[in-house]
Amino acid sequence: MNYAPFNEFRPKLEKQYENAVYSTENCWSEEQLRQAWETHKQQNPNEERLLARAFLTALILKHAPVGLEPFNPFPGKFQHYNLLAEDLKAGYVLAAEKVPGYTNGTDIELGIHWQVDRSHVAPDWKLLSKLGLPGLIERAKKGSSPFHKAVVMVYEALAEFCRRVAAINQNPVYEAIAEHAPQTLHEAFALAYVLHDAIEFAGEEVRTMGRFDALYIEFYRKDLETGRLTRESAKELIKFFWIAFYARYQGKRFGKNFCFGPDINELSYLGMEAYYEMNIVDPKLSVLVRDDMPQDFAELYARCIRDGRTAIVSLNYQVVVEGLIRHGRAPEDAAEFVPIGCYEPAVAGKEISCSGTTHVYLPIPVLSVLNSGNEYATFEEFKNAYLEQLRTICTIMQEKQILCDIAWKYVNPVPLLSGTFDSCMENERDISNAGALYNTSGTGIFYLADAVDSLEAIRYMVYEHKLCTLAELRQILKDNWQGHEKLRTIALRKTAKWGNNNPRTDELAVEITAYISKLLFTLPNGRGGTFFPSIYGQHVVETGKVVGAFPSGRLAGEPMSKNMDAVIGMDKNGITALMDSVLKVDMRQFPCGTCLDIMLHPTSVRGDEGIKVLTSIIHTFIAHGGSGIQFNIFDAAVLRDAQVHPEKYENLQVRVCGWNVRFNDLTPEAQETFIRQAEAL
Amino acid sequence: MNEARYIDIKRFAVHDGPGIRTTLFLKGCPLRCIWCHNPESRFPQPELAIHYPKCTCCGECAKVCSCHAIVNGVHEFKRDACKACGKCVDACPSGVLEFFGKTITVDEAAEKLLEDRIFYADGGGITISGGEPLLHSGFCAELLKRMKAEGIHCAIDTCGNVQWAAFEAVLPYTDIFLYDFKCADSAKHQRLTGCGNELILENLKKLNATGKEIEIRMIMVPEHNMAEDDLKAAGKFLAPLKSISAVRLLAYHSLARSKFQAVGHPDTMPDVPSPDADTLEHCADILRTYDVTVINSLK
Repeated sequence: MNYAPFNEFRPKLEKQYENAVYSTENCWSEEQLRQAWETHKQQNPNEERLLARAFLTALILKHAPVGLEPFNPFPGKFQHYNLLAEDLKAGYVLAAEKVPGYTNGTDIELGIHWQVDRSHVAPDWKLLSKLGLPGLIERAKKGSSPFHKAVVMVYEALAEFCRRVAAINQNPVYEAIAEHAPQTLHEAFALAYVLHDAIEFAGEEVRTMGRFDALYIEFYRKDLETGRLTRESAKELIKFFWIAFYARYQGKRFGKNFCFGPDINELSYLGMEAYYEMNIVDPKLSVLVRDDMPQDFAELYARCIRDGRTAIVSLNYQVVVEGLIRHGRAPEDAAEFVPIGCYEPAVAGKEISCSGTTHVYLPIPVLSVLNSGNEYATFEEFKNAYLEQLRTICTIMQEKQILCDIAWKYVNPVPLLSGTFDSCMENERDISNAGALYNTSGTGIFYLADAVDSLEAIRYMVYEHKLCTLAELRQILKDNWQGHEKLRTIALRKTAKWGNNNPRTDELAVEITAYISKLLFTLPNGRGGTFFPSIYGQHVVETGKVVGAFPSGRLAGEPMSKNMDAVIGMDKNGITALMDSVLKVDMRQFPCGTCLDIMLHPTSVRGDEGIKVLTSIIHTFIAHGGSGIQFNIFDAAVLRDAQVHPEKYENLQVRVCGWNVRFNDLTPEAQETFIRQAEAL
Repeated sequence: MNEARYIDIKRFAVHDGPGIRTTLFLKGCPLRCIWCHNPESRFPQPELAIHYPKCTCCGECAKVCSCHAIVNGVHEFKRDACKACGKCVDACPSGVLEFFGKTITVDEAAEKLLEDRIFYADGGGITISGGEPLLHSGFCAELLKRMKAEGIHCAIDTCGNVQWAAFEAVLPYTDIFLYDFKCADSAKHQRLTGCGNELILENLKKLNATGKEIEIRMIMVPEHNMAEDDLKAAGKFLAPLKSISAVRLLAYHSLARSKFQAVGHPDTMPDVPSPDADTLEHCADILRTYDVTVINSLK
């Protein structure tokens, strides 16, 4: 089968959501849909939230207008009139009623964040490909609980939706996926796409599409054998598939994850080639690196990174698996992890890790201890008070998060998702009601470098060189270092900084991270699991704006440090020293993920020799226990030029945290942050 | 020789030989190339560099040493009186003052160079550069011997203008020589570097005869050494030398100009633009007609 030339349709495909045209055949009007929903609610005033949500989802899938897009191998839009999103608000109201004290929020004074996380889930893609919709329906029909009923309701509606899409767009692929498990690559992609979109409209963000090469290799091989596809037409099909994910947000949100490896096959190469050719900010790729990765594949994806397709993170397969096993996953489960967010591993189809539920801002407790007014005779005492304060805030965070965990089932049960989980089918519970086998609450440990540098600055200035007292430092920070420029210069230039392979800071980092990892694993959450630590750091500009000055010399309002990185411009000994520092932390303590950003100047990775430099960096980092690693490759002068002439740089991508955006779409402050970092190279 | 003066240790060096390397830059050089990119490495003795644009005129340096004074908001420095004691560097809170020419022992250098050893495994290693490292051949030999014992790939980056005995000292422990070739004509070489090239070319032939791998490095300076005749003469000389694995063309740039000011040397940097990739490729094509492998560092 040949597909239309992708490049010809690309501009249209990029706008397939915003320019969607809906068929009026065989569907209900907005008024009819709203009427049916209102009637249902009136007739079933005390209906369980799970069933109400299932009813509304099914109603829309069965009757809402369907997109008319015969040019697209992956149609499947529906006009939902925002009904599911509107009803989510009702869910939050219900949760507040049912769970007194439940909130979503951030306490910047304490340095914690908590929430019902509706953005880090994924169905069991493997099972979906194997059973297809009819298989999932059949399995759910064996049970009689309300949960089973809800699953049957939504999957039958989804099958009906596929039939309507098929009819309106004359697309037999969609007819096929309504009737049986997928048989071809096109069917397998289409099924994943429709379930993905349905779950997202039902209010949960699907953050990974699973292991791309493993999931689809057999379909691809079979299609080649039967002559249905050639290598080239399969590559076109992949592009049509991926562009649909780009089209949803056009690079303005976090992005969709497709995972590659650890087993590299023909489809890994084909997919990576397609990705290179597309040159796109979203989807993003995670590559699971194991020591047997073929060098030519490593070079293929390094070439993507080198040539500006930087939406790729490498994860250490072995270290993640060991970390998951160490923290209670069965070895066969751990082996099946996928990154379920930017870089947060979770067991596919068995774990709901909600990796965005909670954050701890590591530098804030340094300020809390300093501002307590207590005196500490030695640095050791100060540091112990810091660790104690960390414990205190984690406990407060836990109390708040437990209420969120309990509230989730009132906010948004998602049988479309839970129906793929074996454990949910067995225990008759939705994932929002602790139905998964592993129910963890991810905690992002944020801004490590700021905390370490601040503690070290206190040790140097207050305790070792007695340049100021704690009380004086308290006042200096309150004054945002004004009038103390000389001391600030000392703080910035003379005190050791994280990221330079300096034992003073690195030992502090190792101690703090080990302490908080151990602590979080002892704290139960509200869904029968525990907290689940990761080291990353986002919202560096936004948080920085509302946080005061630090002992490290940072001024109030300046950006915070990102991920496991050094504070911008403070890693003065080059990237190998930065990696040497990072590698001292045992990543197995952070099975919910860690990430290091490496910024390189284009001249250091030029030519074929440059590709080898990149693969060496990744390989060495991973061979020595590092885990997540990602790149930005910039020349500061180019970034400056892009600020002045954005039209010349429409394809210039930047890796923000675990996602990419076009440089032109960044706020001026965020642009400035990247430029400062590039200038420090 | 158990110690040498050095100017820098650069980690993640990817332009000083194959793979990811750490490069030790030793101090002292027999040449005075007008385009020198490391003027702080020329003299063997220690020197103070002052990065004037960063100076806040806080006066901390003047408190510890009378060579410094802040006069009417200007940082004045009596270079002739400076004993390079380094006290002012410690006193400066802003990183304006930099001391070039600290001594380093073989033990210290070995420890530093091994810090990044995990990154060398994938085809990288260590490089000793300068200045001219072979002015410290005894030190280099000891250090390289130590590195070889650790299984590390070793490179020497040399201008070649040293006694042959210096090469002999390091030969057993060096995997690759990065050998500068500024221009083939000796009179012109004299004008551009302050020194004729007879010894350099003779050493290159001798080195070639040992069979050690050599990478030739030619910095291309517009209007100075990249005319067709220059390149043809170079190609003709280099072609018969079969130990040369490649000739790498590097592009001149004037980024080091501020360093001349910082160390108080007269600025001799040519006022010419940096050649672009296509220009280098044109040069490469001329050299290639002599059957040498040429790498364009801008491609």
